[in-house]
Amino acid sequence: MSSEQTTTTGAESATPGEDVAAGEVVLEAEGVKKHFDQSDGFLDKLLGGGGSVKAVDGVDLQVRAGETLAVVGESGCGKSTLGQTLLNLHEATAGTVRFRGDEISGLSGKQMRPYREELQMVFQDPLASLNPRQTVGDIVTAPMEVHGIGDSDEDRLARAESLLERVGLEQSHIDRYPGQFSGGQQQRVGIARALAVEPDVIVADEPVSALDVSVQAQILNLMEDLQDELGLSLVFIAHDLSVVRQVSDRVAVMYLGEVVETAPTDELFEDPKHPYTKSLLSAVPRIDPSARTDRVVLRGSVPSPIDPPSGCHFHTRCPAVIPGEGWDGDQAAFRSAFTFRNRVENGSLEVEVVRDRLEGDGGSVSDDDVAARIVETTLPGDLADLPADAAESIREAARLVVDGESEAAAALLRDACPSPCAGDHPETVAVGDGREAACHRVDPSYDAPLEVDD
Amino acid sequence: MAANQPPVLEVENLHTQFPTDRGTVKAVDGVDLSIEPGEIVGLVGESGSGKSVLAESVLGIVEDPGEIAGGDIRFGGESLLAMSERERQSIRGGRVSMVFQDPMNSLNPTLTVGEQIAETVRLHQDTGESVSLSAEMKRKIVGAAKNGEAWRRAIEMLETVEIPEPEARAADYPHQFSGGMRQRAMIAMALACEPDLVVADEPTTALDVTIQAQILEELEDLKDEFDTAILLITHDLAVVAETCDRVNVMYAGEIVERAQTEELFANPEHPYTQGLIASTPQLDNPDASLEPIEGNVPDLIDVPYACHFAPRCPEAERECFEVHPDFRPVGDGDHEAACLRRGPEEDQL
Amino acid sequence: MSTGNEADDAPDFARNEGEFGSGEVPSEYETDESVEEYKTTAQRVAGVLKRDKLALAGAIVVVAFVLTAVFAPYIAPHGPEEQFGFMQEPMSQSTGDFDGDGSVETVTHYLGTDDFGYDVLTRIVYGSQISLLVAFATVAFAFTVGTTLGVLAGFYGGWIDTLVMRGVDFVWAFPTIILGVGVIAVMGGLGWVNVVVAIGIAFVDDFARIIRGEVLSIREEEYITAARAVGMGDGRIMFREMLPNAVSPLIVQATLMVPFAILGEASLSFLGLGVKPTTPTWGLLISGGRGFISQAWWISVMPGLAIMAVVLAFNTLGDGLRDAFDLSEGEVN
Repeated sequence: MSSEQTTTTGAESATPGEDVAAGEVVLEAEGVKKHFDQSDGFLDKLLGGGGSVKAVDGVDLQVRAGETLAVVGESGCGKSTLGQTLLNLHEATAGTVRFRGDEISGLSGKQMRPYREELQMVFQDPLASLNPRQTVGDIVTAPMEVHGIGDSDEDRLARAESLLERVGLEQSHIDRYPGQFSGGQQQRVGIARALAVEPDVIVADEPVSALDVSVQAQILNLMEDLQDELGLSLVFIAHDLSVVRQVSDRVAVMYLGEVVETAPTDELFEDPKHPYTKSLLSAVPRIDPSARTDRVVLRGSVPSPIDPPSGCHFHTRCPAVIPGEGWDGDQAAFRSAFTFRNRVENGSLEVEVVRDRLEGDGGSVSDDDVAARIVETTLPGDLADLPADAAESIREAARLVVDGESEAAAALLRDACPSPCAGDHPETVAVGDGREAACHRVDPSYDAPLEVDD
Repeated sequence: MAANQPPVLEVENLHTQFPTDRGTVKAVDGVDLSIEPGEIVGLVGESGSGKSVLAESVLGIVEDPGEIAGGDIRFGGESLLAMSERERQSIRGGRVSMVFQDPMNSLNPTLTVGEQIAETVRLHQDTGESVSLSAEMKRKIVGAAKNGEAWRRAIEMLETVEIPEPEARAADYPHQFSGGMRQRAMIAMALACEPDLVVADEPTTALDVTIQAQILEELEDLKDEFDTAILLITHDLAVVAETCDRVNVMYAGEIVERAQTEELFANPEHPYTQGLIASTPQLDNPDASLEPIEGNVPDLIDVPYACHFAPRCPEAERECFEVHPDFRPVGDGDHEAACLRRGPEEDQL
Repeated sequence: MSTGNEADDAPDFARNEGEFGSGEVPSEYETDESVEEYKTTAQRVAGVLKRDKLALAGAIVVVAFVLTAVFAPYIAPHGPEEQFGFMQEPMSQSTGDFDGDGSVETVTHYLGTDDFGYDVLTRIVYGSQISLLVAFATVAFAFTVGTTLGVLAGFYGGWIDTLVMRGVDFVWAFPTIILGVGVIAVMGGLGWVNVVVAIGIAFVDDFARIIRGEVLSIREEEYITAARAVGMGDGRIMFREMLPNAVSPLIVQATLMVPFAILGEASLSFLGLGVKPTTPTWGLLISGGRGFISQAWWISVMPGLAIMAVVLAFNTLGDGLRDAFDLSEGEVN
C-alpha cells in the first residue's frame, strides 16, 4: 500500500531472505470475497434453499515488485479460487483487487485486456492447461497475437522459439503437440506462454504439485532463474511447505477462505504465531525426523466452506482455543470438552443409530445407556479428565440430545464451555515487523497468552 | 519378530511386462524384495519406476495385457504364482490386502461404507453369515442385519481407525465422507481380516498434510495392534523417513538401493538416491539449493544400456552402459547399492 | 558438482565425475527420443478407412457419385434431352442415327427409357448434379447455422442458452416436410436456395444440440481458463480454442445427415415443391414415373435405387467415422 522511494522493478530483484518491505506494491487485494452460489435455479433461490460456498471470505494481500509471495493452505482453503480472483478470472463477490493502484476487480473482459499483458497465470495441471489440438508454437504465439506483440507471424514465431529455448526446451519442439511431451516439459510450455507477453506478475497455481520430485526441482530452479532475470513478481500458490520455504520471500497462510497469518518466510517457519500455522508446520513429514520439535497433530477434518464455523473459523480444531472465564481444567481437557460442544452444535449426532447398535449388542438400552455411549464415542478424551462440573454438563447435554432436545443441549454446553474463539471473529493484528496474524491469542485486546501450557 | 518365521513376502527376480505395439515394456525388470513379519518397508520411486506395477504383481491384479514373465512371489513361504486363481482369491483380502491411492475410486459408491467392510469380513472370516447370491441381494436391498457379526466387526474397525460416531458413519456412503475419512475407511477395510501384509500404494498422496500426519501416525499404531507388515509405496522421501523401518529405492523397473531407513538417509550411496535427496526441498534446510537430476525417466521398452540410470548419472563410465550393476555392500548394516562405482574399493570402477 | 550445502550431514550428489556426465550417452547407446504420435483429424479419418472395409466401400461409392455429378456431361452416355424409343426396357437397344452423323448406330439403354423417350441412365447422371448439390448445400447450411447457435448457447449459458435452444426446439418440433412447405410458402418461389433453407432449417437442431453439449464440457477445461487469462476475446475462444476440439462428432453428424438431406429434397420434389431445374432431380424423376409404375416400373425405381445407393454409402461411411472417433450412439443422431 505504501510506495517507497526505491522501486524495485526491472532487473534488480530481491533474493530470498532479504528484506523486501521497501518494494513497491504491485498487486493488492482488499477484503476480497468470492462466494459460489449453490442453489440450483430460480425456485431454489426463492425457497431459500442451497447455501453458497464461501471459497474466499475476506482476504487482504499485498504483492511487491520482484518478490515471491506464497499462498499456502490445504485443500478447500480457497487458495486456487483466490489466485483466479486476483486475475479477475472469477468475478469477486466483494472487495477490490488493484494492480499498481488501478482497480481491476470489476472490469469487463474488454477493459481487462490491457491488464492481461501484465498479469499472467501458470496452472497446476500442465497438460490440461494446453489446448490439445494446437501446436506449442500456436499456444505460445497466441498471447502475442492477442496483444499485438511482434510485427508479423514470422517475428512472433521467432520470439516463440527463443522463449522455448529460455525455458529449457528446443526450438524444434515448436511444431509438437502437448500430448507429445512429458509433464515437466509441458509445464515449461505453460511458463513460456505466460512469459510471452512479458508480464509483471505471474500467479502460479500449484505449478509443481503434479510433477515428480526430480522434475519439480528443475522447474523450481527455472522459475527462480527467470524471476531473477526478468524481475517478475510471483504469487506462488502451493500446499507443500517444503517447496514454499525454498522459493518464497513472504508467506500467507490460508484456512477456510481467510488469511490467518502473513510473514517473511524464515520468520514464519522459525517462529510461527498462529496455531494453525504451528500445526501445519509440525505435520510436514521430514527427511530428518529428529529435527522436528513438538508435533501438534490436528484432530478432525476441515469444516465445509458452505457453512464455516462462527467466530474464528479454526475454533473447531484449534489446539489453543481459549477457554472462557472460570474453566478450571487444563487446555487439553478444554479442547476435549469443546470438541464435544462443537459436535452437538453441528447437529451431527445420530441417536437412533447408536441405540440400534446397543440393542444389537444385546445390552440394555435405557436412555441413560444411549447417552453414555454417545459421550463415549463423541468426546475425544476421557470424561474423568474433565473438571467435575464440566463432566456433569456433558452428561446432561447427552441426555438432552437423546431426548431430542438438541437446542437445549447446545445452549447448556455453550454455558459450560464458553470461548471467545467461537463468538468473535479475530482481527488481523500486526505481530512484528511486516508480520500479521489473525488470532485472539496474539490480539492484545484479549487477555490470553500466546504460549499454551499443555 | 520371531527369528525363524519365513518372511511374510519374498519377491525373487520378478519380471512383469506389458506387450505394446512398439515393443515390450519391462515395467518390473528383475526385482528382489523381502518383508519380515511386523515391519514397515518403504518402496520409493517416482512415476515410471514400476512401483505400482510391482504392488499389483504381488497381489496378482496386474491388468491385461500385462503379465508376470518370470521370477517368483512367495507369501509366507508358499509360492503365489504356483497357486490356482481360487487360492489366490482366498488370500487376497484375507491375508494380503491393499490400500489404494484414491479412495474415492476404490470404494464402491453404491454401497455403504459399513457394508463394504462387512463384506470383506464375511468373505474371509467365519462369521456364520452366508455369502451366497441370494443372501447378498437381500442384504443389499433390505440392509445388513445390524446385529450380525460382520456388521459389528465393521463398526469396530471404524472405531479403531478413529472415525468419530462410527455407528452413524457405517451407514453412510463414501461420497458423504471427507478424503481423510475415506482413506481411513479403506484402511479399516484392509485391516478387517487381520492380514499378514498390507500393501499401501501411495495411501496419503492425495490427502492434506495435516490429515496425512494423522493417518501415518495411526498406521504405526495399527501395525502394532494388528501385528501386520506393511509395504508402503510412495514417492515422498519424507513420508518414508518418518514411518518405515527399511527402505528400497526403485528406478526404471529395478531396485537400486536398500537399507535401514536411518542408514539410507544418513548415507545415501546410489547416485539416484543421492540425486533424489538433493532435489527434494527440505523444510529444515532451506538454504541448500535444489539440484535436479537432468533428463527424464527412460522409456522402458528395450532399454539398450545396462544400468538404467546411466544416461542421467553424473558419474557414468563406459562400463556402466555395458555391465549390469550388481548389489554391493555399502555403509552400515545390510545397506547395499547396485552401482559399479560403489562398494568395497576393489570392486569399484 | 558440489552442492553448496551448509549442513554437513547432507549428502552430496555426484561424488565423482564420470566419463559421461548427466545426459551424455556413448554413441552406440543413443536412443532416439520416442515421441508419441499425434494424428490430425484428417489422419484419423484416413486410418479409419484403411481398417474398416465397409466404411471404405462407402467412401468409394460416395466419391464415385460426387465425381459423376461433377463430370456429368462427360460421363453420361447421351444428352439429357435426346430422345429414343418410348418406355423401352432396361438393357434394350435402339438403332438409328442419333448423333446426326449420317450413320446408324446401336445404343444400349442400360436402365431403359422413360415416357418421353429419354435415356434413364443419362437422366440419373444429370440429376445427380442438383440432387447432390442441394444435399451438400443443405448440410452446409445446417452445419454453419447450427454450430454457431450451439456454440453461442453453450458458451454464454444463461438466457442466451435458453432463448437459442428453445427456439431451436420449436423449429425442430415441426415435421420436416410440413416445415419445408411452410418455409417455401413464406419465402415464395421455388429456387434452390429456398429449398436448401427449407430443409436445412429442420436439421439445424441436431448440430446445435451436439455442439452445445461439447462446448458445455470443454468450457470447464483448464486450457479455456488459460485462454481467458491470456486475454483472448470470446469469439476467438469459441471458434479457435473450443471448436477444433469438438469437431469429431460434427463430422460424423454431417456425414450421416447427407442422406436425410437427399431424401428431404427428393420428397419435396416428389410433392412438386422442390427445385425445378432444367434437368430433373432424382425426386422429380421418381415423381415423373409415378403414373407408369405398372407398365414401366424402371422409370421410378432406377432413380430410387440411385438414392438408396448414395444413402447407404454415406451411412456406412458415417458409422465407420463414428467408431473411429469413438463416439457413443447417443452422442450422434
